[in-house]
Amino acid sequence: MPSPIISFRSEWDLLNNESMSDFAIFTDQLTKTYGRARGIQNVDLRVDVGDVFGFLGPNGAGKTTTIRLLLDHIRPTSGRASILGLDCRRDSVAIHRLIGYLPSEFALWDDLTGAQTLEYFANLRSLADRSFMLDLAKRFDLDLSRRFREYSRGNKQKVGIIQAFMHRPKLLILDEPTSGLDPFNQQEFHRLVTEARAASATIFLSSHLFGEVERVCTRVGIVRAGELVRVAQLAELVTERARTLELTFNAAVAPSVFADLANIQNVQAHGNVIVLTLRGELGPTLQRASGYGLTNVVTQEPTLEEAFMAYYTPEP
Amino acid sequence: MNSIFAKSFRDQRRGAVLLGLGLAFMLAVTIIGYVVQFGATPAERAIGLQALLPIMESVRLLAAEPLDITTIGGFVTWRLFNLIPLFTGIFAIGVATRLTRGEEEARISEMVVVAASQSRTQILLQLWLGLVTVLAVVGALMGFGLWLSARPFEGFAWNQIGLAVTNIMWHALMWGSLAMVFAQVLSRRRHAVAVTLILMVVLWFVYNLSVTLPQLHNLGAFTPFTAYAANRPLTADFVFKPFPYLLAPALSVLFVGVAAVLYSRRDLGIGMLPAPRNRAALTHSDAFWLGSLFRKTLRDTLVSALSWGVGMGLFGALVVGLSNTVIETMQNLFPPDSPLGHLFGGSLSPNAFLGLALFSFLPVLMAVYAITSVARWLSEETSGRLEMVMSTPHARTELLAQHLLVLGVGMGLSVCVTGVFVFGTAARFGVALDYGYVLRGLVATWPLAGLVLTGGAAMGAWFKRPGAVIPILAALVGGAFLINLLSELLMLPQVLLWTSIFYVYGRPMNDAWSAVGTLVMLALAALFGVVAAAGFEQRDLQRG
Repeated sequence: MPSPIISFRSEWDLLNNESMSDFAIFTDQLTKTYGRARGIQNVDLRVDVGDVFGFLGPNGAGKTTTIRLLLDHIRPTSGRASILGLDCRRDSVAIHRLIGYLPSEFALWDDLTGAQTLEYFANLRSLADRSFMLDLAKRFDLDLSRRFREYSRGNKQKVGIIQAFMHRPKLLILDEPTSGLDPFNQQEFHRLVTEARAASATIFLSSHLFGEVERVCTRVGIVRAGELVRVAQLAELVTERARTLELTFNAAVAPSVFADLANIQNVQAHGNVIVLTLRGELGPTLQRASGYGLTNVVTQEPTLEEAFMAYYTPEP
Repeated sequence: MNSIFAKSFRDQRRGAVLLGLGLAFMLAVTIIGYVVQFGATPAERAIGLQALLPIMESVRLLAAEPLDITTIGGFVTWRLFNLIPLFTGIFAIGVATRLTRGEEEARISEMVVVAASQSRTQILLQLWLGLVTVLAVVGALMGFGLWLSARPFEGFAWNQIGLAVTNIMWHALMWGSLAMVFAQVLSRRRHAVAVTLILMVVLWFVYNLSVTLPQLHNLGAFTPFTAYAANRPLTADFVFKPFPYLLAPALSVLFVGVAAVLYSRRDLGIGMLPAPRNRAALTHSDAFWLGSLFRKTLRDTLVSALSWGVGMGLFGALVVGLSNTVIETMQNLFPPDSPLGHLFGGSLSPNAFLGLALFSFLPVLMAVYAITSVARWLSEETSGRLEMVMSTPHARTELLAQHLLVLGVGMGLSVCVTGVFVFGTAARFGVALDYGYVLRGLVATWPLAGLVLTGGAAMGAWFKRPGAVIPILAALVGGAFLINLLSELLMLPQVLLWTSIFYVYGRPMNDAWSAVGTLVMLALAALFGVVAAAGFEQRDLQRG
């Protein structure tokens, strides 16, 4: 079904106080339904230019649907999307010129060698200089003389990564990019992302690997059951999660001392030590503790995985 | 689903039922048409058929030896039982290679080998039993259709149906088993299919030439079709010859034994023949053929276009090569001043003979080629390759237009190659063809094929599931063929006739032929092209 909404740039701008050209990726109430099957619902996404944005969610949450809508491979049921100020529906060809895309699963021509495959994509993109392409093949230790069907899963992934990066796009949309790569090549990929970011490229990275997202991303979006439930700076997402605080005093302190603090839970006393669960800012708690002879503080920081899982498991 | 055998059968059951029903339908149409045209009793038929016997003798290329053609069994044996082993053989080759090398290419077999806890020999035998069962279904449906169609008429040796059907199916099994051997040796399914298929078709041609041309008679002994033709169970004077009958099943067992030995000893995932070494550097040829979407698509299309052209060209060359012999026979049978000579007068020219023997089949072959072209285009999307190409800066309409254009060019190339063979043979053998008529007959197949191509592309663009397009398109083309075939026999209304592309194609070797139909098909092809573009522009791409 074609989108029932026709894009008019003036209307589009009036509808949004924010200018979509300020963002690398901008979606407004983006929705895709597949009959009874779930797609995505009312996704409002803003990715700043130069961001390395991690897009997290379990299988079937709607990550790939969102990406395919951005690429104009599928059409929205309602809502709109833009990339680098260009309408995803109307300006899809211009957008494709600016982006590099790596799908989570892809097929290429079995009988073409790696060199032939990359040559073809270079021609499709009118890429004049092949030096960076060849340099990438060398960095990933990819044997370009082998046919695509002869490649292992990891080597096929390398072909996909190279074709996405080789024209130095302004925006990289990468769906599970390190799937099948060995740790050495994962490191090489992370270096490549860092270089792309240093060259002012925006990276939109969908992944299940929290370590990878923590390592390379600056902002994170969490999608659950087709809805974007949270977008935050990586640090913000982590620090807002409940963390365990172990406060040691020079004498025993009653738990009731912390009872009136709003962001404190489960306060327990063990001799001179108070163990509590803290959510949010650390400052007020430390300020209160310092008045009772605080001698040591130990915190157990939550991981991104714990932060992510909190959106999928009910709080006790 | 509780064994490899059951799963193999399950995966192929639809194709088996479709082929079985198709063959049953073909037999029913032939039998009913035969009775309507030549009479219900052997005595009635003898009057009409005896005069045609010499022509049947001379046109041996596509039909069996005309024995006992005044009976239904004899006529069916002559008309169809030389062709049906080819159809069932092609089917068996497809199934056998899909079950073996096809599953290996899809990396399914590695998981099956690990999960099944059986030896590879046992696994291969189960796959082979799956093939046997699939062919049994085809044979049962075909036999039932034959029995149902011939039962009302007297003189049909219906108690020999089992023997006739098994004779066909043993040969299909033999080709399938041989394909399993090639599937072990070669690393690609399509290569195994191509080698077995070419071998089968060449041997079939050799057999038919050996029974047509006395000087090639001895060559027939080297083809399994001689053993197949030794038993004609539906003819009246049939005497069972056990050795030729059992040759095909014996060879099947031998082939599957060889395949099992090879399968148990070789590395999974690769063939036994060493793969050719790949080039590390790109050549000038690569730079050219991979230079653009158009050239890459053309590169992928050229081999099949040339293959179809050569195949159709060889068929055309054989028809042209035989035309002088056939016409001479007919002139001897029906002198121009005789009543039948007046009746058959129009058939006594090479043009008229080509109209009957070549241009009745060429549009069908081109339509089939167009269906394969549609399948190729749809596979770009269903395989997931299109998603990668669509993320490059090319508009959807541009992509579709370039693919359709290239496929159209490919079909044009096939027609040109066919023309070269036809005209070359005519010049070599001194056949007095009217080149203008032949040329328009050849050229007019292009809009017909183009219509099938763009029609299929339009369906693919608007259908949610492109997988449904090919069966529907094939059914439509098959229906159009039957409408044209049965138009006079069933006195079908004119409105219905105009729905058949083969009727619209007309008879280009005839003076009454008009270009209007060709132009209408051309216009419709263009219209469907636009419909396809509109549909492709709005559709959600499949991920593959």
